[in-house]
Amino acid sequence: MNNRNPYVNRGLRVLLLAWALLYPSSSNAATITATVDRPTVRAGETVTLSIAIDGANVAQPGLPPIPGFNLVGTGSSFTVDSTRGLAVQTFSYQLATTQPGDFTIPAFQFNVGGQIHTTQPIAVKVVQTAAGTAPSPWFAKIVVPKPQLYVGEISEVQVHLYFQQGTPRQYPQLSADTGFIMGKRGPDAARNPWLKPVQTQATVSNQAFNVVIFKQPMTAVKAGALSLGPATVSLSIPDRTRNTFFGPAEREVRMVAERTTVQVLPLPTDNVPATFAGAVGNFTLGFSAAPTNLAAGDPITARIQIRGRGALESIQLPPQPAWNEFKTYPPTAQIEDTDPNNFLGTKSFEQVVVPERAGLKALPPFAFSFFDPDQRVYRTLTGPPIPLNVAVASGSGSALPNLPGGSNAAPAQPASDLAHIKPHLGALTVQPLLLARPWFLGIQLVPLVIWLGLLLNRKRRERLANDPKLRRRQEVARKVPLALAELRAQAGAKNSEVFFAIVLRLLQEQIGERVDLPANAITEAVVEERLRPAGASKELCASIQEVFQLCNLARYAPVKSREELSAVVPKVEQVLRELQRWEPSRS
Amino acid sequence: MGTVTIVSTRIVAALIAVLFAAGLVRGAAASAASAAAEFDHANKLYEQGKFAEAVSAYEKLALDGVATANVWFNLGNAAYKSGQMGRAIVAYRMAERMTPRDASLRANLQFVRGKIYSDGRTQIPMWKSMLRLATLNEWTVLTVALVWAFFSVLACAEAAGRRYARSALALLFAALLGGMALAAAWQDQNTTNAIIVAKEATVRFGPLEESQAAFQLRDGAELDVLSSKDDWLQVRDPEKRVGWIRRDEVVVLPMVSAARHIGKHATL
Repeated sequence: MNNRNPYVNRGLRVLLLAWALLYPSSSNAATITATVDRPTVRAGETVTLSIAIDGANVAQPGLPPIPGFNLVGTGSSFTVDSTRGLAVQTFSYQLATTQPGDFTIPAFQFNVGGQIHTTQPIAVKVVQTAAGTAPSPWFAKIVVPKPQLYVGEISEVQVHLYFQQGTPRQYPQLSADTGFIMGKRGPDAARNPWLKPVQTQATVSNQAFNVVIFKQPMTAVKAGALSLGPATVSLSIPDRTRNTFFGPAEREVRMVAERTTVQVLPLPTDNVPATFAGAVGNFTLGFSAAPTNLAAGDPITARIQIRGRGALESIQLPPQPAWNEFKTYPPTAQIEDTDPNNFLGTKSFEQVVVPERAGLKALPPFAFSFFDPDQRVYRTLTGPPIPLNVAVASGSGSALPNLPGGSNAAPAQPASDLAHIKPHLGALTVQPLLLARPWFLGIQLVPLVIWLGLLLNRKRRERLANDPKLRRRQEVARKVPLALAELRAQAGAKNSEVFFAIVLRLLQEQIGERVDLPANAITEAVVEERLRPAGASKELCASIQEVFQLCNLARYAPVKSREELSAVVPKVEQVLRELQRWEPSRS
Repeated sequence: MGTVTIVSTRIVAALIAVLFAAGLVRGAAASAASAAAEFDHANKLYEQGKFAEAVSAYEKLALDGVATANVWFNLGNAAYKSGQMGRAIVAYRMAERMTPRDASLRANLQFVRGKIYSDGRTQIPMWKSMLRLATLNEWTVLTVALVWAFFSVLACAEAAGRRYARSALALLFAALLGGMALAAAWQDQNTTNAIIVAKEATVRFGPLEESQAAFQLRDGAELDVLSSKDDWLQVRDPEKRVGWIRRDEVVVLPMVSAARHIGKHATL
């Protein structure tokens, strides 16, 4: 994450330094603040001391020895706060704790531009690590850089994921009190409320850890002790017990960061300016208006820009008591972020104001008040008065234009151009929803079923037309039951000649269909010539030959008895069934 | 005024809840003659300029289960005349579900919407207006008819051994269009809307009284309901602004599906 090209970094640094030196802010007095990343640490862990110097450019100062801490690393960064017009140098010092106890990082003095600046001392509590316990190879915790906030103040919550190996799988799942408005701004905020994570390293109990820091902006909307957390984070680590083609498999480890509490203070109720509308942060004001030569009743567009650090989306324009001779309309607004953390940006308003009488000389100064949570005071910014030349309106009567959303666009008193009421009661037409009725949905299958039936029938006919063998098989299968019925009738009539003619014909048809020969060509010889080579069993061949011989015998010695004829029928049926079951081999 | 609004809102809420839970089914119990007499009485109050009393009379009819399109229409007129824009919109939209092509109803609905904001921000998009020209059942019947016609052509083609490819394709296309319109109408009718019935309603950034105000809306503004939490609804206005509003400042439509989606507080 931090592996940028060093030449690019160096160039960027030179540009920033040049910008900072040339920027008018250099005339501002430098301010120095010292902070630590957490006030309580376990013995053996590292705490980061950050010293931020605004409005100056100095080399990294060294630190004297600090009781209870060992300096194990340093770093620096250089940023430009374009909103305040300041270059900000931040020097960081990683301090390893050595023993439990209450320690104080003392005040440091720095010489910046010939002036001596002193930081505030910082108390750090070092607590005992449980005896004999080594830290887990992965754990997570919730960090609130500013545990005390004011209502409406923007801040951030961080989830620190410590791990020695593995890869974070996804953004944390964080629970928060409903008194917070959580998440970044932007179109994808609903999908992912987190900012881009930062990766760093830290030492805990003399063990090196990778640390991924997930950040999410938050704004408190109610006072009290509000809880943040727990947060669930998952990590993908190599699973040495299983291997895949590409190497060791991975398994997911879930960890929970414990809940923490943020103390949210209500805004002071003393000395609240009249032009305070809830803005909390640190802002600057830009104000302009045009046109300035106009007639009474013509609109002027006032452009107000609120720049700075704060919850921009909740900033509203305050009412302007000094604008009592102007009619005002609801403003439109848009936000432009200048900071990836959503802390800094500009909210631009456009508000239409209309002078109500001729002769007005100026649009009075626009005033905007906010609460500064760092200094704990209300501040009021005032724009310049805009000189105006307001002439008399050319028309008579109300000169106010009908502008969107304006109070003069409010609904008029009940008019008479409504269509008149209905004289008759009408029918009570309660129509149940057709789509919710199962029978209605079921009936929709009817046309589909009809069409599918016709389609399948056509397909079947086409298949028969293209397959004569199949057609013949079906014809024979249809003829056999009819012929058997006829056979029984002839047996009952003791008509031996016809009976055996039918038997012979049945055999010929069935054998012919099986071996794909014309029925007339089937004789007893076919049994040896075709059926047996085609895989017919001995029993089947013997049965067929027996029936053939019965037919031959009947030509010369006709059977007269009904019982004798009836006894032949089951044999024929059996032979035909076996023939239908038999499939000739292809060879 | 706020208390009056809330109490009045709850009365209408109870009215609509009772109506939709049971009244529609049992409405036939009221005799046609007495219902017609009550309707004439309410009309008379309206003609005499007693609009608030007319509103009560029409509401009573609806409570008795006589919720015809004409009762809703007249209730909309009376509500508008008594300065209750939001309730007028609610009544017209209820009537719209029964007689969507009633020209006078559409004119009145458009007229009242135009009175809420004069800049056209309350105008319904053209596609939505066209969808609302028919009821959901009418869209259903149209789509089903096209589907039947399509399969009939296919069946005829099978039976006659001929191909009616152009007719089948045209009907398939029409059936698909009908299906899409039906789906859109279903979506439209089942999207939970909230209509402001307070004179001025504040939409906030969070579901808390302490949350900062995001923007103000007038009586009659129509919103989409996105979610709910306790006594608050998350809403989106036609300008795509999102925020939270108290339940007692709105009427939620449609009542039945709203009750299903957002629980016991679905009505006002």
